[in-house]
Formats: sequence, C-alpha cells, structure tokens
Amino acid sequence: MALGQRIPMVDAMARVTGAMGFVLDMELPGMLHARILRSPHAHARVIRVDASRAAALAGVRAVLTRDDILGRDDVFPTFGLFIRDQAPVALDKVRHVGDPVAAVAAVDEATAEAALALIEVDYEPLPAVFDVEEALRPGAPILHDGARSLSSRRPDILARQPGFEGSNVIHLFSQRRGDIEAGFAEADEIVENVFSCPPVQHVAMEPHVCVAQWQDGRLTLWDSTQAPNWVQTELANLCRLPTSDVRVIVPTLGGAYGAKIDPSIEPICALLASKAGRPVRLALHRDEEFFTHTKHGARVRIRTGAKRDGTLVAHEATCWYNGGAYAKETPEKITRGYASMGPYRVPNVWVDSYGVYTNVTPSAAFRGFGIPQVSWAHESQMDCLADALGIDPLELRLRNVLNEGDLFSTGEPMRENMHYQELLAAATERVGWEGGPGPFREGSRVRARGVAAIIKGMSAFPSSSIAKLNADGSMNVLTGSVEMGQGALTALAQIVSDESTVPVSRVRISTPDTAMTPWDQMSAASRTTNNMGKAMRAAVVDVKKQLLELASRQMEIAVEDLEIVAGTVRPKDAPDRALPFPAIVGPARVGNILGRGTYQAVSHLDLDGQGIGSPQWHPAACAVEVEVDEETGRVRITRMHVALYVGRMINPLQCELQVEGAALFGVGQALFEEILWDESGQLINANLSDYQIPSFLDVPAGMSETIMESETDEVHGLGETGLATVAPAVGNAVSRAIGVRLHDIPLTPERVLRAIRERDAATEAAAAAGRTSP
Amino acid sequence: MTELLQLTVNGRSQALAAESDQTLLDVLRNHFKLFSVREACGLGVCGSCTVSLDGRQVSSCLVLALQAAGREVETVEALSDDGSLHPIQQAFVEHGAFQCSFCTPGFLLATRELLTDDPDPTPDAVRHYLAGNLCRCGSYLKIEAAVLDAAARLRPQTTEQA
Repeated sequence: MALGQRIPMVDAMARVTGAMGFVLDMELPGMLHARILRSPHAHARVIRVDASRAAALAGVRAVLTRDDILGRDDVFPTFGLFIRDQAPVALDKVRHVGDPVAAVAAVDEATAEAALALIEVDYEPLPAVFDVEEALRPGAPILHDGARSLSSRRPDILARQPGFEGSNVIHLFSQRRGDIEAGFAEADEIVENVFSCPPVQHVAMEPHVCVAQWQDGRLTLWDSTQAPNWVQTELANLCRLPTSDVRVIVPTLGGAYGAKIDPSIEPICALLASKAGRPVRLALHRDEEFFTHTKHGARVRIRTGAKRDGTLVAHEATCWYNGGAYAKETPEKITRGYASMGPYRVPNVWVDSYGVYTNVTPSAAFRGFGIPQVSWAHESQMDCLADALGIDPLELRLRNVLNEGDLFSTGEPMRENMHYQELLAAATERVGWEGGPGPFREGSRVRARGVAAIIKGMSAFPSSSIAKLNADGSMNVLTGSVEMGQGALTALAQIVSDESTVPVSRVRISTPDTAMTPWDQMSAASRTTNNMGKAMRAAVVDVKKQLLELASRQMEIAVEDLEIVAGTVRPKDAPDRALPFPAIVGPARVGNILGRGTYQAVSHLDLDGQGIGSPQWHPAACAVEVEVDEETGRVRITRMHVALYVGRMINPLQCELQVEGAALFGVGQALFEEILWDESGQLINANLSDYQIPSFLDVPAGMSETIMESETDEVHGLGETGLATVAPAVGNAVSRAIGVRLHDIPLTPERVLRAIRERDAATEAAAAAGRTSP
Repeated sequence: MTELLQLTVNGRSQALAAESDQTLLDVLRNHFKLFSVREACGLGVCGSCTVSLDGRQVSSCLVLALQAAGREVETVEALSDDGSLHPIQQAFVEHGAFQCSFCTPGFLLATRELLTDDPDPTPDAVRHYLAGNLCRCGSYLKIEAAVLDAAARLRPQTTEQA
C-alpha cells in the first residue's frame, strides 16, 4: 500500500550528497556565457543601440540587440502566454528598470560583463507610472500602444481585449451575481475599506538559468522552468519552428514558487545561441531576479453589507492587481477576484478585478496565485465587520462559511464537505482562543489573537502521461511534471505504485523532456498530484487492461476471471496459479506494455464570472497569537496554527513540508517582505541583505498544523493553500492588540509604531478637546 | 593577475592557477566541478555556498581562492566520502529536512560544525546556529528535528572516542 506512506523523497540520496544536478551545473563543449544589459530607466524610448564595440571585444561571440529581431522573417518579435507584449530585448521602448536592452555571449561571464559596458544606448526618457489607480486615469503614460497580439484563444480575452488597446488595462474580470443594490438596501451594517499588499519576490535559491543549443536548425533548451511545454510552444512561435523542433529538458529546480512559469530569459538565450553558433548558458544573478518576476502588488476596495445577526448580504469589490510592464499571467491571475468575499455565502456580488500595466518589474504567478491579495482584504474586512456588529470574529465566520451545497460567488455549489467549522475550531483552539481574542496587556507588551479563513481553487489544464511496464516488471512513467522540491516524483511514484501494485522502488517517474514526455501544462496551481496523478492512473489502467488480455491468452482464462494482485496476475478462484508480471510481458514478445492516460479537469466562467471556477475547492484556516512591543513596534508571532482540509494525503511527510513552507511564505509577507522602489522606479532592495526572507529565527515558536483528511479518494493540491491564511490572521491579531486597524502589509516595526503613535496622538487630542470644552 | 596555488579539497591536494580576484566558490565549481557549492546571494548572507575551511564554515562567495591556499577545504562531498551517508545526512533523509535541496549542502556542513561545538544542542541553539543558512522552501521544522536526531545519533560515538 503506497498511498499515505511517509517515505523520503525518491531522490533523497542525491539531495543530501550534493549530486542533485541543477541546470546551473550543465556544461556543454564550447558553451558560452551570457549577460544582459538592462535599462536604467523606468520608461523610455530607445533611440539608438550601437553594439559594434562590444562585438569587437576579444572573447565576445555574439551580441543580441533589436536589430537581430526587427524586420526578420525568421523571428517573431514578441512572446507572452496570453498577450504577446514582451520582446526578448527592447524594440522601441523600455518599460521598467531592468528591462533587457541587449545581451552578450562570450567565452566567460567576465568577458560578457565587460562587453555590456561597451554597448552604447541612447534613451529618450518618458513619464512613468507606478501606481495602479494612477495608471488608469486619463492622461496617464501608456505602456503599450497599438494593437495587441493575442496568444490566448480564451473567450473572455477575445471578447474584451479589443476594448483595452491603447490603455493600461491588461485585462478585466467581472462578477455580477444577484442584485447588489438590493443587497445593500437589506443590510443593517455596511463596512468599506481599502487594503493593499506590496510586490514581493519569489527568491528561489536557484536563480533562473537556461542553456540553449542549436543543432541542424533545431533548438534544445535545458531550462529551470515549471512549464516546459509552454516554453516549448512560445519558443517555437518566437523562432518560427514547428513545436517538434523545440526540445525543452528540465532536470530539477532549486525552488520556483511561480517565478518559473512564464518564459523570461529563454528567448534571449535561444537567440544568442543561434547567432553565436554555439551553446549559450544564461544564469541570472540575484539582483536580476528582482528585475524578472515578482508577485502582483494589489489594492482592494471592499464594501460589505450584513444583517444585524452577521448574515452577509452584499459584497462589492474592486481589485487592482499591478501587472508591471508586461501581461504575463495577469489575465488569469485577476480572475481570483472571484474569491474577494472569501469562503462565505454572499447572495449579492459585484466585483471588478483589473490587471494593470505599470512601469515596474512584470508580475508573474506567485505561490497562492492571486488569493493572498484578496484574502488580506476579505479577512481584514471580516474583523472590521465583526467589530462593527459587536460579534466575536470567529463566530461571524462560523455563521457565514460555505458548507457543502452552498453557492460560491461563481454560482456553483460546493461539491464536497468543506470542513470550515472543524478547521476554524482546530486553528483557534491551538492558540488559546477560549480566552478570547484579546488584547491582553503586560506593560508595553500587548498580546492578541487573530483568525482567518480562505478558499482557493485549482487551475484546470490538461495533463498526459505514458506508462511503460518493462519485461522485468518494473515501470517507467513519462511525464512533463516538474520536480522543484515539492516532491512530485515521490508522490507520483506512490500513485503509480498504488494503481499498478509495482513497488515504489521499481517505479521511475521521468523528468520533462518535451521530445519524449507528453503534454503537461505546468507544475503549478496546486494541480500536479491531482491532475498528473489522475493521468498516470489512467495510463496504468491502460497498461493493466493490456496485461490482463495477454495473461488471458496465455492462461486461457477469461479476462473477467483474472485479477491483479501484488505484481502478479492470477485467476480469481486460483490464487496459487499467479503469474508475476515478467512471466506475462516476456513471453508476449511485445518488449514492454505501453499505456497512455490524459486528464482534463473542467472550469469555465462566463463574462459575469459565473460557471465553474475550479474543479475542486481548497479550504484553509489559520489562527495566531502575537505579541506587540508598543515601544518598538515589533511583532512576534507566539503561536500559529494552520489548518487545511486536503482530501487524501499521498505522502504525509511531503504534505507537512509543503504546508509548513507555505505558512512561512505567509509569515514573511505578513511581517517584512516588500520590494521597494524610489520615485524614479529604481529598485532599492534587490539583494538578500536588504530584502530578507524568513530564516530559522522567523519560525514562530509555537508553529503547528492540522492536515485534515477524508475517506474519499479525492486528492487536493496543498502547496499553496496555507500561505493566504497567514497575513490576515496576523494582521487581525496585531490590529486587535494595538486597537488600530492596519490596512497594508508588511507589518514592519515602523508601520506598527506609526499606527501606535497616531493612535496615541488622537487619544491625546481627544483628551485635550475634552479639557477645553465646557 | 594569475597566481599558482596549492589547494587541498576533500583531502586531495591539487595545484592550480587562479586569478587573484577569483573566489573560492568559483574555483570549487569551475575547476574542481564540485557543484554542491552553490551561489544564491553572492553576499555571504544565505549559506548556500557554505564550505568548511580548516574545520570552520565560511561562505565561499566571500573567500578568495588565494586565501584558501595551503588550507583544508571540505565540501559536502566529504561527508559521504566512503560511499555511505554521514549520520547527519541520514537524519536529514529520514526527517525529510529539505524540499528543493539547493541549500542542503550548506545546512549539512553548518550542522556538522554545530554538533562539533555543541554535541547536545537545545532546539533554540539549533535555530540560532543555523540562522545564517536560508531555506526558502521553509523546511526549518524538519531540519530542526533532523539536527536534534543527528546529535543524538552522534553522541554515543563521541563519548566512545573520548
């Protein structure tokens, strides 16, 4: 029984001996090294690019500029998963500080770096815009002019996109359900707030890295990507090749968290290798990660109407996701506006969720995919509403959470037991909620508790797999799913073992090589274990069907009278006549048995955001206890408990790692992670000294989790879910501790101290007013 | 300027030519092909490029190759030199003390030094000692459990040697 086993990762030996083999370690004969020249301006017209001196430098083999792209019929000038708005290097304009302008391939990195200084570029600076609402005002600088090249055929993109050309709207997702005016008319209490969260960086310890090689006009990339098939498709379009002539190989990733889905450096690497006629390696330095992809900063205006007993009756929200300079996955990300009211029953809903171009680093997918932005808003809002109604914040949530059969904002019913009552109970019990949320003051230190609940979906994309049962009874399974530390290879091997009865030690799951492995959209969106797991089960079922037919012929027993047990086929009525798999595959003279499986989950939302938002919904809750030092503003999380309902666990050890890791991402975002720009758009903390990520000392002292299972076979992804619960739970606790509502994260000591001082100044002013008035 | 130097890496001594501004990290990766030594920050704050220099851990991105001349350099490959896992590695495997494992070699070397300095560390001591190694995947709770378990496994052995 392979399911539910706490086995170490199947490649654990390589991981602890340093022998893992990342793309970073790839070396090819004659391989060159590349560096990128980046824009110093947030927004500028590129007047002149002269790379002749760089090209003449000893050791330089190729320089890539817009001259290698414009006017060429063998290069499509732009790429992008929904809108092709990004060029490998700048064509007419640069749109953010760090935007690639040119690139050099040379015999070593130092030479390539030296050559960058010899490239002459003349810019005409243009007004820049960094704020989402300013970018939508009339007269704002426009980042992308003219007609848009659409790469997605999604109906809402085709229907809405023409209207956004010439504006900074990347895309708009709208939701209309019930009667919003009637809803507010019915409400006894209406609360309105604006909440914001900043862009943050993924900081995968392994930077983006790619090695490109051309042979006979065909392109091979060894790439640190979560989406090998998407890179293949985009590079085929860019290089005007059939998909079959682009091969993307992915060994394993040193972390990704969403940063490595959208193509970014691959086009530069491929075009340099083509021009140089030699393999090229492009590995980003840490600061360049901050110029490549970030999480969407966001602002959410939220208005909620409730009856006196706490029943929610109306939800109105406008979300602005800052997409930065290029569209990337923003058109998909903004649909998460559908969760802007949280995991609650609300009959009347009005949501507009914008993706907006601004002159900052392009935003990409980031663990949680749009949910943390709205959860910070809706869970802070729930506490504001609870206070306005005089209801305990936990109680208000319990009265409104979605149960099985309740309708979500998308109009679809919850299709399974969501367990919110148990999750909220588990989380709050562990932080001492029976004593109430607080505050509890001891001198300058104040303790308080906060709670939050969220709902997250899983993206529905196709996954395919091919299973091979070898003549010795071992199995190879081909997949495009990427191992990036989440334990995909291990969980998938356990699933294949469960379905095939072949032990995990004799199951080998492949890593992606698009020349051989079938399509998988991406390893992201909490979908691999579920979607690829189901594709693999289907492939193994296909193998088993053929195996039984071969055994039936060999044993002269009808298929329906045979069964598969522990690596053997046996007659149901004569277990002693069992034949091990090799005794069937070998004599059949088929070499191996090939099975194939495809899984395609379904989701579809119409232009009113109604339909099926996700094939399954993932519930989670978090409760924390914090201690705020009112003299320093410092917040310490003294207890924290995250609770998830996950269907069935494949490997509890890997599940715990994923849940704890996601929770720590939440801690970083709640308390200190934030990318900062100055007024000209220059990043001021693009390094791991000024931009800090959680260390051992940031792990909350009493951190624990509940991973709730059910008896069903349904498997939920869980790599992201917990993240979105943490910041609002912390924010609610801190706000309760200091008695001031905080609307923006991170809750740095400076921000908390400022709130405390404003509170004290207001109290003093009120007291003074009281003294002077009669 | 190119200089000739003698480096002892994982017990084997080798002469090589290095630039005077070349880091130990660069030489270990590009000359010795020891890819367990990984750059993630380039500032000495993340611990991914941790190696042992005369028995003390250093960030090899901040050490010049010339500074390591004539000294003993050890990378994580030294831990399993005899083909079997070191008890610390074994504990990391059993406790699942990693996810992407990019940072793992650094954690293993830092843990070895911790357990040499303090064979019976408290959980708090583990957290403080390993605070200079960053794991973005956030495997810290499992790392803590693995380190405490490795300490327990190593203690009887240490007593025997003493």
